[in-house]
Amino acid sequence: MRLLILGTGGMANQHARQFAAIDGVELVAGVDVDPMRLEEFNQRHGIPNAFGSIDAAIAWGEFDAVANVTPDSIHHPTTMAALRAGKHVFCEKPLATDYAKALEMTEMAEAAGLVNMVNLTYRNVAQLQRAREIVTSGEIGAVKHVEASYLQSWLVSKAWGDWRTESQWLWRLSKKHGSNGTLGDIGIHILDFASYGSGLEIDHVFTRLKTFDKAEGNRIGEYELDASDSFTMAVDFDNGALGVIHATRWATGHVNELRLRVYGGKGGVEVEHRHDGSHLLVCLGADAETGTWRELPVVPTPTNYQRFADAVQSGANLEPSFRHAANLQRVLDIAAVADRERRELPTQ
Amino acid sequence: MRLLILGTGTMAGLQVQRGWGQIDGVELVGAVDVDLNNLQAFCSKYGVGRSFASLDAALAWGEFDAVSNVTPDALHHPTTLAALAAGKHVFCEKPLATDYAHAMEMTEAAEKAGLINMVNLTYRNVAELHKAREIVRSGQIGEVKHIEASYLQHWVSLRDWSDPGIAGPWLWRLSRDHGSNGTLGDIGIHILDFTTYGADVELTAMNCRLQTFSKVPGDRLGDYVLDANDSFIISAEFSNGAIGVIHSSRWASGHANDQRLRVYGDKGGLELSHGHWGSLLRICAGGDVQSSTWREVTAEPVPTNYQRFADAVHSGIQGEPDFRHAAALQQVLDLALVADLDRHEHRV
Repeated sequence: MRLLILGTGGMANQHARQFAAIDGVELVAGVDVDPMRLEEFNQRHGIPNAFGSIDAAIAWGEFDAVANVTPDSIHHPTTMAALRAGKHVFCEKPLATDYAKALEMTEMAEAAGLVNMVNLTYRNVAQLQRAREIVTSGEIGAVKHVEASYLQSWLVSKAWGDWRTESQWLWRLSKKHGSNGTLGDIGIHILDFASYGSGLEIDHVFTRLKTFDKAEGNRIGEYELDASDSFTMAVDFDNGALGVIHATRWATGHVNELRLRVYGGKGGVEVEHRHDGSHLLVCLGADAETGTWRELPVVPTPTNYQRFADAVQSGANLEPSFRHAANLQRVLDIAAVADRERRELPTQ
Repeated sequence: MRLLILGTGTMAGLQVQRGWGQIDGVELVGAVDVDLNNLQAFCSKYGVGRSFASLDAALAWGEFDAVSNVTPDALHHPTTLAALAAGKHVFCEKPLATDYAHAMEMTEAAEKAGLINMVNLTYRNVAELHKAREIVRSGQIGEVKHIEASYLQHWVSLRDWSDPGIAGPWLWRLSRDHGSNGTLGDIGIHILDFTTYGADVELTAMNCRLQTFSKVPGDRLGDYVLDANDSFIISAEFSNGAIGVIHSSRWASGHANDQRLRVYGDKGGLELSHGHWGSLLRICAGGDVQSSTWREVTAEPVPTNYQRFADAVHSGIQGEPDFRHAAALQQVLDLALVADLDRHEHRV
C-alpha cells in the first residue's frame, strides 16, 4: 500500500511511525499547508514527496490510500476529495463535525467500494477486544446493566502541563477554537468503548453537559472557556439494558482512564484501561455464585493501522468503519440536543 | 430508654442483635405484632416482658419512652403518627413513608411535638462514609465537580425464578402489588443517602430511567406479577453545580452487595467502596495530585444509628439521620418515578 499522510501535526507522527512499521506499507508523500512543518515531517520519517494541498497530491496520484490527520473540521472536504479520486481513507476521529457530514462520507465510501476506517484508538486495547468476545459469545448471558467512564485529571493535575498557560490545552476549553469539549474530545471514545465492549447499540440517550467557572470572567486571553468539562449520559440499549456513561477532566488520580463494567444474567466483565496498564476482570460460570473475580490474560490485538493495511490489501473493509463512526456521531449530536432540552431522546 | 418494638419480623431481630441488645440503658419493655406466633417467638428469644397485638393496645398501656418502628413500609406512616400523638420518640425503618407527602406529615408532626425522630439508614454505620464526608467538608479535595455512585447486587441474576422453593421469600420484592417499589425503593434510598451524605451535596435536578427484566414466561408467578423495577439509572445535578451518575441493579452478576462512591473536586478525589467484605476509602489530594497516587484512609468507628437514637432520647437533642432528611430523599425517589414516565429532567 502506497500511503499519503494528509496533515503533519502531532498525531501524524504516530501514524507515520505505526504505518512505517507494517510490512508492505510505503509512506510515499506528505501534505500540509505549512511548508516548514511538512518538510521537517518528511525528513523525520523519510518521506520522498511533499504537497501543499490534497488537490495537488491527487493530481500527482501515485498513492493507494490516505491517512487523514487534518483538524476535525477539515476531515469532511479532504476525505470526500480523496474518495472521489478513488483512494482508500483511514481518518482520525471524529469522522466529521456532525452526523450529516459523517453520513455523506460513509455513503460516498460505500458507493465507491473503497476501504474506509476511523482511528478509534482504544480498539487497540486487547482487553476491550477480549471483553467483547466474552460478552457476544453469551458467556455472561443477556446484558442487563452497563457502566462506562472516561476520567482525566488535567484540569487539576499538571502531569500533562498547565492548561492555564499552554495553548495545546487552552483550545480544548474553548468552542471558538474548535473544541466541542469533553463530549467531542473523549465522548466518542467512551461511547465506542461502551457499545463495542457490550456488543450493544444505544437506543435512547439523556445527557447533561457541564462547564465550570475556571478563570475570572471565564476567559484567559483570547480563549473563552465555554466548552464542556464533564458530561453524564443515561442510556438504554437495543436489548433493553440500561447504562450510564460519563466523563470528566476533573478526576484527580486518573490521568487518562477508561473503565467499562458490563453485567449479564450469568456473569460480568470489567475492563480498566489506564496510562500505566490495562486489566480485564471476569466473573463467569461458578464464580458468579461466590462473586469471585479473576483477571484474564489477553493476547495483543492488531492495531487499527494494521487492520487498515490488511483491509486495503484484501479489499474487504474492516472495523471501525465510517458507518460505525457516523452512528457514534449521531449519538453525540443528539446528546447535545438532549442537554439543551433536558429530556431523553431516541438516537434514530 | 424504655423501648417498644413495633413489628417483630426479620429486621426487628437484627435490630436487637446489632443494636438495642448491646446498648447500656436500653430496656426492651414491649413488642407488638398482628402475627401472634412471630410475636411470642420474638419475645421469648429476646426476653421482652410485654406483648401486644396492636399499637393501640400498647399505647393504652403506655409505659415506654420510644418506639422502634419495624413494620412493613406502608404501615410506617399511620403507626408513627399514632406513636408521635402519644408523645413517644420514634426510630423508623427506611423508607420513612411510601411517598413524600406522608413523609413530610410525619416530619412535621415529630418536629412540632419536639420528639426525637430518626430513620434507620443503615449505611450511616459505615465509619468510612463519615470519614469521606469529613474530608469533603474540610476542603481537602476542593469544590466537588463530579460524582459516580453505584449500588450493585446480584440476587436476581443468581436465582432460578421458575423454582417456587427458591423464589418464595424473595417474590414480594419483585412485585408492586405486594408492596415493592423495586430496586429504587429497596436500595435506591441507600445509595442516594450514601452519595449525598458522603459527598456533602444535595440533588437539585435529576433524570431517571427504571427497567424491569423478564424472569419467567408471562412475568408472573402465582399471584405475583413480576413488575417491580430491577435497575435504575439517575443522571443528577447537585447543589454546588457538580454533575454525576447514580445507578443500581440487582442483575449485577459478581457483586453480592456493593456500594461505590467516587467524588472528584478541584483539588483532589476520593473513592469509597463498601460491601459484605468491608470498606475501603482512598484519597488522592495535596502533593499526590501530580503523581496520581492514591492512599488508603482509615476511619475511627462511629456510633451506630441505634446508639445515636438512644443518646438523642437521653439528651433530648435530635440526632441524624432525621425524618426531615429521609423525607427529602423520599422526594427524590418520587420524582424519579415521574422522570421515568415523562423522560424529562426534573428539578427537586
